[in-house]
Amino acid sequence: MEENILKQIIRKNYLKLSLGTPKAECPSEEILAAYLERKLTPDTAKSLESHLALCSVCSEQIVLLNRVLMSPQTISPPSFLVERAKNLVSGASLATDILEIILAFGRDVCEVVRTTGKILETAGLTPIPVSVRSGPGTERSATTKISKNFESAYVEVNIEKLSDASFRIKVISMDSTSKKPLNDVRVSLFRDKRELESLLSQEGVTTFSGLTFNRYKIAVLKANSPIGEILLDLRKA
Amino acid sequence: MKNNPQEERELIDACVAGNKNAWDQFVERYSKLIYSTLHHVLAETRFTDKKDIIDELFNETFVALIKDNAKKLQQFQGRCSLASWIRLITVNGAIDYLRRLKPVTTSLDEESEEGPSLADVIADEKAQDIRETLTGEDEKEIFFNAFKELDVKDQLLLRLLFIDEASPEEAAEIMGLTKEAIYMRKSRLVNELKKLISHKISVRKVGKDRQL
Repeated sequence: MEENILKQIIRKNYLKLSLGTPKAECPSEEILAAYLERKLTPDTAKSLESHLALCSVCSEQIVLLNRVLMSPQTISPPSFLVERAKNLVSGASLATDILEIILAFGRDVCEVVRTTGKILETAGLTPIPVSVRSGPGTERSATTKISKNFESAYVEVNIEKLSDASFRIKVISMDSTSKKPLNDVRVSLFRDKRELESLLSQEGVTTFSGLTFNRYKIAVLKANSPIGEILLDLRKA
Repeated sequence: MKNNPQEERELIDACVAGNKNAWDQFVERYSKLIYSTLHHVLAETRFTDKKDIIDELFNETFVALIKDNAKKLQQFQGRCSLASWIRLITVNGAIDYLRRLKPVTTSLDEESEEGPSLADVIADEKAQDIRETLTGEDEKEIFFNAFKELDVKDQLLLRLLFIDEASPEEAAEIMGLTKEAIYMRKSRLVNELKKLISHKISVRKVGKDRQL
């Protein structure tokens, strides 16, 4: 039998299988790209291959992506297009309701690597960057206070180093104009997209302990409406 | 483009946080990759105004990454390189956009229901007899059961070669096998599929004969 006839038989009957899986069951773009980079575990790769064999949407993506990867040709865009893309973000802010804080900690030093908030004056500490020094061999706590005026509230974040690798943070939510504490603000702490803890504020204050060197996301909500997000990165200097 | 994953992560975090300098750096770094990807994808189509479409899609790709507080950028977890991920985001954006315009290739849905029967897999002298006894439902069920019995890699290879019309070289790249391995696997797969279909047709025929 000619291969062409077999191909027609396969195509005709494949169509009849009513293939195509619900979009929700399709793997993420990262998984598809990781497959081509051979970065999946054998089990995950096998499971993906099984999905690809039946899913027209994903197989089309992976065939096209592979064609792009196989072609070495690169083409530079006209400069006006690049400038237009850059201008999608104004100097003011991309996301007004996100507060980014990156802190690097040495033994006695806390450095604000980057923040989109305002570094506040704190008793006994010098802001920008915050450095705390004490006598040799002694460990002192160091608190960094950073604030941001979100659209619907003023939020202050206090990050306190308790020991070599343990931190406590306080999130204080206040009314934007009167600066009175906001009650019933729900503050949820996430790491790696998993919720670790979710608390209601008391007198505007929510406290989380036991944080370590890691990246966290803190979601702040009032009556189920988001006030803003805090992206907190605690790292070793 | 070789980049440090830690550096990529920091760049994304800074973009998400609204850092303008980081965004400018991100655009500079990935513009050529996005533009080239769009050229490759559009090359596969028959549109005449490709340049205008590419320019529009170029901007739409960046918009897709930063809209809704950079929701898309925040999804990147580092399981693959940032460059590969951005390429795939670009490819998907282009596919969606082109689908909205009009279908550009013959879809499987448009293919005729006519054509050879599953019975043609069997030796010629018996095919005519069997063809008359097989209904469309029979064919569908027999094919699906034969397909399910194939090894997962063979199922994928069948799809790539016969449905997506990938070349053996492309299938080899996608599946991480050599071209020689693909040719060997394809030959074995075709024989296996014919054998499975023939067997299932025979079983079905015997069942029908008994009913008569």
